[in-house]
Amino acid sequence: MAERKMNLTLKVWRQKNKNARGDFETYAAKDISSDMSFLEMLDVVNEGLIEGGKEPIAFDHDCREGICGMCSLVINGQPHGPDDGTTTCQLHMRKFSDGDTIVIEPWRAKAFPVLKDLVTDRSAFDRIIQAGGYVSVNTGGAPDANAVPIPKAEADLAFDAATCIGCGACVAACPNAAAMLFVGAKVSQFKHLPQGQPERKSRVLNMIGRMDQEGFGNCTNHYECEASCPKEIPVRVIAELNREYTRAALTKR
Amino acid sequence: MSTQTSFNPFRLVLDFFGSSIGAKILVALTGVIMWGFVIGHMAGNLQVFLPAPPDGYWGQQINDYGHFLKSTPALLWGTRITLIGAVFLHIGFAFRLTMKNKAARPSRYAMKRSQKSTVFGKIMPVSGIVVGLFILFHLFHFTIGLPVEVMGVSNDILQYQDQAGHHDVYKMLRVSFGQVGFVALYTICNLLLLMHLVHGTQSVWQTLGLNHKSWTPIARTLGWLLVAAIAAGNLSIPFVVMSYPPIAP
Ligand code: HEM
Ligand code: FES
Repeated sequence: MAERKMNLTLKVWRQKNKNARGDFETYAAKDISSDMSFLEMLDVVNEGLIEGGKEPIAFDHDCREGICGMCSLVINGQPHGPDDGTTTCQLHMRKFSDGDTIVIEPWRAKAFPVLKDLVTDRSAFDRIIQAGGYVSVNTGGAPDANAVPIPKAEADLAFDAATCIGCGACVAACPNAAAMLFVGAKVSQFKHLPQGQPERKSRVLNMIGRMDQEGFGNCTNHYECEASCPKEIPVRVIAELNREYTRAALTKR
Repeated sequence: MSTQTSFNPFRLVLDFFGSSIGAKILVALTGVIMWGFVIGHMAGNLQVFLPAPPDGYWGQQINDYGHFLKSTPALLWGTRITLIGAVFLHIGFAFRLTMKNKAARPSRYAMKRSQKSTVFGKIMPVSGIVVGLFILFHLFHFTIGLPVEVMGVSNDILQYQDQAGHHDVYKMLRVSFGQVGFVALYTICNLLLLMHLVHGTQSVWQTLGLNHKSWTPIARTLGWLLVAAIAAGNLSIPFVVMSYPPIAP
């Protein structure tokens, strides 16, 4: 596709710190190449701001290749922007047209407080993982990869869930700021694998316990999470989460 | 040392329903109980359309049905107690969840583009409240007796008797739905019930952990059909009864 140049208007959420009241500021993004990624476009805007002696827009990013889950922006009302199955860093400016106005906001959820501008504190997810989103591997040699047979269908289900990058788009998109797609993905991933069995019950009990403490909402089956997930994790994992939790809660020892 | 603690079923169940997922499941299960009632209630009421038996009179069948219910206290009170329990738990836990959900998103987006959520899903608390108020009104209307006269209908309708000396349910319906106001009220409330049940039937399988790539779409289609059948069945009563010639109270 041939390169295009465009001029855009950005309405960006600016907030000094966690306790400050934020508001929108309007910026002109001039001469933007359609080949840039969304974050590169913001880099260009920030260079302009720095040259003008202004505070650049703070936003999170790390890998810029769609795997770390840091680039958490709500773009025109959609987490990670208008493209399906894409993170913000992988969103290209060719999805926009000359003259467009783009509204950029942080994830909004009580459990993800805004630290500055577009940067949110998503450590609530880390604490949920610490509560149970792992398998315990004690010392010893690495077992032979093929020693534990796993049916292909089960491996596929586990892998679909394991693609979660923990970006939090599910929470950002959910009308209730629920984290159940995220927790469901982790629970489903291990539920389908033999390695996940020893901690199967304690995992789901501890992760849900932590999730409830962190102040996330509850799923009311709107499926906005599935629609906005950059890894297209299906809501099937939430049904599995409900089942796993019920089973564990009613039969725990 | 064993980590086994003593089994306390009450603790287990209370802990479960105190959690986010347990609360959701309780809302779903009580919803299913009310669903069962809505179907039974509609089927019972459709007997208003049954013709007079030989040597009988119009309305006798539904009057006899009403008499049967009243003279079978185990059935009547069993149903009433189950339903009262289900209604209170459903509303209580739905309210708790809704409040938590609101609190989880204290600041709103300036721009939010929904992709999958439906209007019926979004207005669940509103449709629920309207249906709840309607149930209360409905109970005063046909069971307890209206404390004040509404659109020319008073608690006299509970005193009507038929030739067998049973409560004349048929006449009560004809007098009530002879009033357009009542027909309009019942129509609006049943449409809100329809909206509530549409999202409910789409949701309930997922909440109860039943999601299957082939069965779920079938269950959802059946859910739609069932909800449509319920709305049609319930609404047919006021509309058809309204079309009968007027009757003196
Ligand atoms: C009496 C007043 C009522 C109120 C205040 C109420 C409120 C609610 C609320 C807030 C929800 C959760 C919404 C969501 O998950 O998005 C819900 C779900 C539901 N309601 Fe009701 N409701 C009422 C009556 C009823 C009745 C009469 C029925 C059935 C005949 C019913 C069946 C359901 C079902 C099946 C669900 C879905 C549960 C799930 O999410 O899986 N509700 N209700
Ligand atoms: S920056 Fe790593 S996923 Fe976007």
